[in-house]
Amino acid sequence: MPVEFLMLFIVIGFYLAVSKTLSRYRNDELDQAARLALLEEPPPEDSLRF
Amino acid sequence: MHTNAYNYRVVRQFTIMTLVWGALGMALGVFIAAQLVWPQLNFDLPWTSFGRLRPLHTSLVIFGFAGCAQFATSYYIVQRTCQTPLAFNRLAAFTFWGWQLTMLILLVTLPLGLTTTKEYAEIEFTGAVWMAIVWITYAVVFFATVARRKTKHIYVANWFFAAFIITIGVLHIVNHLAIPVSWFKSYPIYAGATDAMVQWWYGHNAVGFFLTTGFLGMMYYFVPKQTNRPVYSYRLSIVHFWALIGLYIWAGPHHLHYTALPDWAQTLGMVMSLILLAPSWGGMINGMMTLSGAWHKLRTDPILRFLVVALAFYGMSTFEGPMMAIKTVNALSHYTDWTIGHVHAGALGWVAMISIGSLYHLIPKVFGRQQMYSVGMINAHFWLATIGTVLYIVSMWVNGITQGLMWRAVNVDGTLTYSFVEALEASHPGFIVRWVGGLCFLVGMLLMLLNSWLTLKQPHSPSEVLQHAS
Repeated sequence: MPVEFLMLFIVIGFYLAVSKTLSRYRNDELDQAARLALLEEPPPEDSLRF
Repeated sequence: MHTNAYNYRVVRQFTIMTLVWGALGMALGVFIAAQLVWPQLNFDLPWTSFGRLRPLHTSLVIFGFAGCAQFATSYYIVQRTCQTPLAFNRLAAFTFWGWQLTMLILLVTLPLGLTTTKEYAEIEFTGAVWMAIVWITYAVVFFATVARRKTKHIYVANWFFAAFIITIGVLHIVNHLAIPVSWFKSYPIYAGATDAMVQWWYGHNAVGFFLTTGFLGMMYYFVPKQTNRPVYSYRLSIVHFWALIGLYIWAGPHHLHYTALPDWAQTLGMVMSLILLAPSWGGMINGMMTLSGAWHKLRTDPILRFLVVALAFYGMSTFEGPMMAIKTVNALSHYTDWTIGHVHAGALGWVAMISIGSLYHLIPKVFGRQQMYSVGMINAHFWLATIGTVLYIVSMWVNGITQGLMWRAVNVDGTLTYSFVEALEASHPGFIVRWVGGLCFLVGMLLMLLNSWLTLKQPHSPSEVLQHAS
C-alpha cells in the first residue's frame, strides 16, 4: 500500500484521537487545569539544608 | 509543622549543580572555540586536543547543565502541580548522586579518549549502564509521584516531563546496545547505515526530547508562574504535545541526507521535520500569548525577559531546523558551521535562557529567600546572554554559507575552485566573533553564579525565620 495512504490514515487517526479527547473536557475543567501552575505553596520546611 | 513537606532538598542540590556544570561546560566551550582561533591552544597533547575536548563540552552542557536543570525543575514542578511530596526520597537522592557520578565518569573518560565515538552518546559501556540505572530510578520517582497526586488532572508540564523521561530512557538504551570487551570499550551491535540511522534517531531525539520536550515542560510552569497568568490555551497545549511527540521521533534521518541511508528514509525524515514546524510553533505561541495583557511586565522583569526571549529563539530555531532538513538546503549546510549555529541558537537561545529564567525564579523559592540578591545583575546577564547568542549565531551563519559555497564551487573543467584550507582561512574571522559571543554568554553565567552565591549568603526571609523559631 502506498506510503501516502499510511500517512493519511495516521493524520486522520491523530485528528480523531485528539478531538475526541478534547471534547471530553469542559471549558471550565480546562481552565481549572491551567491554573494548577499558579497554586501558591507555603515555604519549604527544611530550606536550610543543602 | 508540615508533616508532608515537599522534598526541596534534591531540587536545591540539582539547582546548584546546574550552575556548576553550566559554568564548567560553557567555559570549556569558550576554550575550544579559542582553539579554533589559536590552534596552539591544543598544546600538542592528546588530552587537551579539540577532538577530545569537544565531546566533553557537549556532555557537560547537555547532561550536566541541561540535565541537572531538568531534574531540578521536574522534581519541583511535579510536587507543586500534583500537590504531593516526591515519592521515595532516598531514590530521589540516589538520582542526584548517581547523576553526578555519571558526570565524573564523563569528565575522566572523555579526555582519555575512552568513547563510543557516537555523538552525544560518547559515554562508554559501564558509564552507559550506570546512566540507565539512574534514569530508570528517575522514572520510578517521577511516575510514582504522579500516581500519588492529590489533584485529579495531571498538569500539562508533567505530560511533557513524562514523555521526555520515557523516550530518553528508550533512546539511551537502544543506541548504547553493544558488546563490551572491557570496562570502557565496546562494539555496537549495529553497523554501517543501520548504525548511522540508530545513532541519529538517538541524536535528533536527544535534541527533541532531552532539550525540547523536557524544557517545554519547564516553560509551561515558569511562564504562567512569572506572569501570574494561566497558559494562553490549555487545549493548544494538549494538541501540540501529542503532535510534537508523535512527529519528533521521525526526524532523525535529516542528519543523513545524501549519505548511504536509503532515499525513502531520508525523505521520510525530511517530511516529518517540516510538519514538525506546526506543533513546535504551537508551543511557542502558547508561551508567548500567555503574556497577553501582561506585556508591560517585560519593562521591569528581567526574569520574564529571559523566558520570553527564550521562546523567541525557540521559534527561530524550530523554523530554521525544518528549513535545514530540506534536502536541497541540507546539501549546502551539512558539515558546515551553519549546523553549529543552529545548534547553539537552540542550546543557548532556548535551552539555556529558559533554564536561566526558570532558575532565577526557583532559587529564592527553594532556598527560602524573598528574591535574588540583585535584579540589576539579572538584567546584565540577560543582555550578555542575548548579545552573546546573536553574535554566535550570525558568525556561524556567515561561516556556514561561506563554507558551503566555497566547498561546492567548481571550475568550468569540473575541478574544485577552492581547496579545503582556503575555506578554513575564510572561516577564521567567524571563529573569532563566535569566541567573543561565547565569552559574553559565559560572563553572564558567571554573573549568575555570583548573584546566586550572594543570594544564599543573605539572611533567610522573615516567614522562614518565624517558622524556625516556633
